[in-house]
Amino acid sequence: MKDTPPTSEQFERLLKWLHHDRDEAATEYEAIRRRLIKMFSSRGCSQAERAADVTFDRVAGKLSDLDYGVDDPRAPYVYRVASYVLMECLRVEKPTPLPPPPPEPDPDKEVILGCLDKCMESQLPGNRDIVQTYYEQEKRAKIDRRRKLAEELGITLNALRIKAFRIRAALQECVENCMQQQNNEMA
Amino acid sequence: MNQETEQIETIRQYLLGRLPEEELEVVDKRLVTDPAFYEELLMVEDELIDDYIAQDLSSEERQSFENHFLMTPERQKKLRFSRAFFNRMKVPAVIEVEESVPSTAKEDTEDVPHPPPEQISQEAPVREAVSPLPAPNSRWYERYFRIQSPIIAYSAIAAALLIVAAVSWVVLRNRTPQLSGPVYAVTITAGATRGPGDDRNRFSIPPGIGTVELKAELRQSDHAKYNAAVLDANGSELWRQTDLQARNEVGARVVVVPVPARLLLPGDYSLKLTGVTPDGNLEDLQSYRFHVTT
Repeated sequence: MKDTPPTSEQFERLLKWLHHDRDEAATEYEAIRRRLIKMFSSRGCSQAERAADVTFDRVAGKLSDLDYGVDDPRAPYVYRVASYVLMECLRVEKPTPLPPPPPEPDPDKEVILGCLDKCMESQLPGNRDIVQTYYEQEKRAKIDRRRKLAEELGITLNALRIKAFRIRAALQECVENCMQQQNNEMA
Repeated sequence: MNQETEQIETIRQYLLGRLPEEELEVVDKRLVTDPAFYEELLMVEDELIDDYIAQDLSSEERQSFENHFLMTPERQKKLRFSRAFFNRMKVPAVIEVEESVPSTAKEDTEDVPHPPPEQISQEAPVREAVSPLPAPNSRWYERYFRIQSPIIAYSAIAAALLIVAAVSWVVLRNRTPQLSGPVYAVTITAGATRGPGDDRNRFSIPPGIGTVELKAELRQSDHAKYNAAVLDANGSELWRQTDLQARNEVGARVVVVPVPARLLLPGDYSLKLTGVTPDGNLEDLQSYRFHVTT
């Protein structure tokens, strides 16, 4: 998995290849990179971020020789390159010691809960109700409650699942930012 | 099993590292090329975590979850957040707040009737009658500790001194960070960042980690030995390692610098590398800036 960083000219060409609008190109770059990282890490490549960068470096390096149509989707080509990088990563990588599961109870439990309360407060009341109802833990009642909630909102169960997931993801991001801020204040 | 359920099951097995080899490529490709599939995978990740917390995974799944799924710091973060999240879903915030209120204040919030004032004033003399004050001409140990025997008094003081000495030793020992416990390895590179989304040299340390191995990539590798120093954002030296050797790793030459995890609180750091020349002189090499996130 050799890494030859692209020249600024190659990097600009890569962005142009991803999209003619620079901002759109940056968004697309980010999105594909996130998906690459997820693939590499899910497959046990511990240097997932590095592997994603190497993939883009190689794509950038090959663009001058590439005959690619304007409307051809970019991600399949990136994947083809990534599949070789993945093989290299899995071949050379030595198994690293497994990190233990995070301890329970969490030493920062109070901080996380404090941040979570703040973040829940910042949610729209409707969203708060959705997560509270959706993530009710009691098994049997949970299924009925979700079905009823979906009916009330006039959406399918799967649409409700996606909605709840997105609110939860936003909450997690908010909590992480809050904890980071608290750490910075303490430092 | 309908198509949707089948897809969820495939993703679950993929995430747990239990999908047959021949199906891996299909999932890999969809994951990279299909944004909706990627979002579905993130949802299944959350649902796996929920099942783990609710203890709804089979013992094999649980093992795969702990040994494979939790390998990434990002998923460990998700698990940490989800535990707190379900804790809050289960227990309304108001109850938690009451628990942390001191006992006297807590009583005020409860509906238990308070004893009338005269009951409290009647209790005080009873306590005094049980343990009367020592006589004015009693010995020091009788006066202060209400102990009659001098042997017991001196033994108690000796025991207390021993405990103080032991506690002090433990505290002093812990002030010197140790290289021990589970290891978390991270590769860091020298040089500037290079474009959108570049978060190289940013990482978080999973809970429970004792030692962080900083793998500093070398641009040139012509020294037999290296010294490394970790500095905080103000340039103060936090940690130093000497006589390190370079080694080959994933297509790069690296110097591995073990650092006690407890030294690396969230913030900015730099690693300064010096090479030891054959005649024993030190040569300044690269500096690696890195950032530890929560």
